Amino acid sequence: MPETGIGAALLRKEDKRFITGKGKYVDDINRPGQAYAYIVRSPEAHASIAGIDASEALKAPGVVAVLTGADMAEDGVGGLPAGWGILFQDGSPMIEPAHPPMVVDRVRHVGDQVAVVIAETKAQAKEAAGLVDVDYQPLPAIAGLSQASAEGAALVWDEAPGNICYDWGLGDEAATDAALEGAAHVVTLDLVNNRLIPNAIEPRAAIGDYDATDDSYTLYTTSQNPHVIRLLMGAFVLGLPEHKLRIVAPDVGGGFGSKIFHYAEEAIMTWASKRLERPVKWTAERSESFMSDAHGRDHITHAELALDADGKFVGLRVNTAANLGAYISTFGAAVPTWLYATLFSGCYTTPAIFANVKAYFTNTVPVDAYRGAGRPEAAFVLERLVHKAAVQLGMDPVELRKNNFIQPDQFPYQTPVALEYDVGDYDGTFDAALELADYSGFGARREEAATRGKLRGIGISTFVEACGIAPSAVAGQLGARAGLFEVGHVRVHPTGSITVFTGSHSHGQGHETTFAQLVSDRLGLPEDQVEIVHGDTAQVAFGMGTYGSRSLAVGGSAIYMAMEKIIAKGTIIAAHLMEAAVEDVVFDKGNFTVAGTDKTKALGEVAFAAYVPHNYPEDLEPGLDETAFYDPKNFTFPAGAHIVEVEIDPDTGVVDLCGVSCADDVGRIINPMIVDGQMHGGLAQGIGQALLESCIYDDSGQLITGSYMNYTMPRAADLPFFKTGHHITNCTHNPLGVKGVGEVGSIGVPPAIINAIVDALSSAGVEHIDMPATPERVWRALQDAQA
Amino acid sequence: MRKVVRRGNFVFTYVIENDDDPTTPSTFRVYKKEGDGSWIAGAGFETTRPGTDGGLGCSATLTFTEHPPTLTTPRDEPCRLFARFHPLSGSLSMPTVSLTVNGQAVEGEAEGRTLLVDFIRETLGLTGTHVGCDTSQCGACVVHVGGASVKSCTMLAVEADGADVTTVEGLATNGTLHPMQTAFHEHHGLQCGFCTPGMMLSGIDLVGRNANPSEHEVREWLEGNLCRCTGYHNIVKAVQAAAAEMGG
Repeated sequence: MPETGIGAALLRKEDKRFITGKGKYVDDINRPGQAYAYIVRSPEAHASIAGIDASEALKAPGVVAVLTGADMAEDGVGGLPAGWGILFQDGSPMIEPAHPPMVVDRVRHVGDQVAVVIAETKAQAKEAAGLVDVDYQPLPAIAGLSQASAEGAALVWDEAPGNICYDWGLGDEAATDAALEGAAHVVTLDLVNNRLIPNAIEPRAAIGDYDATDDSYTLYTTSQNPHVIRLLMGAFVLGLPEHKLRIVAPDVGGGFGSKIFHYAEEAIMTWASKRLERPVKWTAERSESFMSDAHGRDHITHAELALDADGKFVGLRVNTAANLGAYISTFGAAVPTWLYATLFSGCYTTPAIFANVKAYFTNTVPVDAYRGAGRPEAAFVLERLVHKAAVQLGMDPVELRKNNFIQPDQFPYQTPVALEYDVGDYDGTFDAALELADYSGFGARREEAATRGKLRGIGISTFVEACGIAPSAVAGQLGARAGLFEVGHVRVHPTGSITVFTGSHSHGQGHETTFAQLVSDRLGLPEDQVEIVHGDTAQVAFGMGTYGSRSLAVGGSAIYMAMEKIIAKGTIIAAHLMEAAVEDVVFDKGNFTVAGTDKTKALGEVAFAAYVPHNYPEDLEPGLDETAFYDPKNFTFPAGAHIVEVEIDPDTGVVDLCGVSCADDVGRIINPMIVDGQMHGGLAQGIGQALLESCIYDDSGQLITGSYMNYTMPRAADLPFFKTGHHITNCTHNPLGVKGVGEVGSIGVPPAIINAIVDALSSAGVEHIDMPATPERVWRALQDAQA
Repeated sequence: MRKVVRRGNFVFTYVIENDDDPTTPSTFRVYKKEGDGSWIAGAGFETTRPGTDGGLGCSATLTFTEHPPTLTTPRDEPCRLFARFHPLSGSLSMPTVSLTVNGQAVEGEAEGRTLLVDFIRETLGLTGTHVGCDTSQCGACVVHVGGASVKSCTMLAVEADGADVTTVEGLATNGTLHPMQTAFHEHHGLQCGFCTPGMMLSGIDLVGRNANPSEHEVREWLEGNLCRCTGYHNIVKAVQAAAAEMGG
């Protein structure tokens, strides 16, 4: 393994500040003269507001202001925009209700923003918030999908009949219907993809800081994509021009999707700081995170897989109801459509696929991208179906999968659901996982477990995911309202050290190390000579941020392209300095050399000449500072095979995770240590979904799982050590050959776990169990099957 | 028998000398919580309806007889929710908390209700200690008090008066990292870094009690520390590696 550059397990450059307590998160920032905000949130799931009386709150000690949605409306503040539009099957646009940062006359979920109290201290703001008298007139609440779709259901939005936001389809419906009708076997499955709450350990925070001297604004916010926030908040909500609006997302304590979106509090703090002409700071309490961070997943699905007599998949039909919550969050509409149904081909050659997704409004927190975002839901449907098909047809689940895999010589492979996979080796990845899991030894382990009275099962999931949504033009045709490129800016300083400005954002992923390795590898200088700057719109030219495992594939490629420009210009300068023809100069390992000679100039020397251009090519601009905007040609398609082994105590229903073995094809690996770390984190969240986590609303729309006391976060003792391996094929269309690793764990592992549990319980006749497979659920499934 | 009873904005302390007559306290002191969260202690109240609260022997209808009431400086009282009164100016101030943090004597004012974590972050400006929840579950705020790991959101600042506190900023000595810090770095035991200070301080306490913890023991010990990034895989490895280093 190399010690530097691409492939090195380099220890992280950013660690030092975090392990010494010097990280700088938003809540660690305090601005001179700042006031503190506390948001008055709705305790009602659905109610009209007959009045807001803030007179007592205004009299409370330290209170500076109490502001409401009416004040925002008066100032002409707009609504939070949806970043993606989806069409009905008939081509009409989705129902897109207004989403003001603070409500005006109606609340639509518990936690909806009603007012903001601003005071001299945090405690004073919180105490006074309790004195704001809001006259709620409760309305019937829609607490979930079954209520939303019921006949005669109350309406979350008057303009959305049946509570439907859109009724969308993808694929060839007629061909799929025909395939199912004529098939030798049809396997059907009804399942729920449980609603999750992301729970980055750092709660969201925002500080609005208005500067009257030049009428400019700075917003410090816990964001994965500061430029996107600047664009959305500036253009659509507050009507502020970009040159007067700076967004800083400093160290951010985890995101997992939940910090992509433009949230109301960001707009409220920015707006309030101008009204008060002083900085206004807000930090969420964890209970606010539970009821205001966008949630994830929440589908109900009916799916049918058709197979021929030989076990070849011939058709797949999926009908999904997706819960969008009360409002359309930034990417909320795209997640259960383009990020979901496009994955139904998986690793397989299924020729006919049709998916119908009905998205519903409910009186719950908006639902949006959470680690995996649509792809875990797709993999869960597909891999549960494949497992069930193997059982139903009496086939080996390994053989059934292999029999249907897209073969390496079939790439590029056009699926029936819009995607064109560029490369993969699904057999190779699967074989690596089977070996890692000692799959062939499972029978003996099951027998041994049986002697102890334990039910042992093994479950498989083989899957494809799509990362780095692109290209922008295609995404635009599909309804994206933003570009999906990335910006890399490489500045070679006069003495040869380098600063890279990236539009990606690191909130745990280790960009400061991985990106430095890219630069070290290409430009030939040690990583400690390279500084990565991100998270500040005043420093970074532009950017689309970090989500969908795009940072390396899109952001890293942009840096690579900027480096190519540096090398091209450096070659001209070096040729001049060495009095050689440009075409004779080659760049390698930090040196420009005249081919076939020992004449050479180091990058540092060339940089110095660029900034002190005394002996310099005519007509060439001084400086060595290049920016590239990189718009990918396609998605990347990481793939993986995850194998899980469980042991179940039939008396208690407790599931013991005995083995989690994962082989993934994440494309070229820059830093294997960081890649494995990303795998571990994704796996933990996938295991959390499968065994522990579930967001629950009661029938009146009250959030039952509103704290760590009752939302089960995976703890250290809930998880085993993970076995991770790789079987790599390089992406063919980006310059680095990389695909993405951030989400594979949370996509691949949930169906493997449930398949393992169902396998363990199969002798008792259990065919399906919904997530999370808590001891109670497992025990009841066993009792019901045996009854 | 001394009793302390909290009723809404009032705290009563009283002494019952005659056990046969528990409804008649012999001394009676009242603390009133002000709108700004401070507590006034004093005798400037008249209790017009004492001793009738369901056997607890202490409820009262209060009428102010002086404005402001006569106030005392009741540091000797069992109830720690108090404010200090300056007789000359007539003003109230918050109590001063004095403690040792990372080897340095520090002092600062704290309301009675101020949590130790807020005192550390806001008053002392040591922002390496983090707040991740409001139910004492996440462990991002773990510090050492008297050498033992404590969730600093479960302790009032005034309770830490006189204590010896270590935060993440105090782990390295003279620029040399603590073995736990080195192990977290070398084993990639952190990603976003938010839970890391609490994890390390909790891990150090574990190793102090158990020099060679098994994987299972590390996982069980970290029950009170949540991480959403690492799946704990490398955290467990880091704690075990640090234990080996610290023992050796």
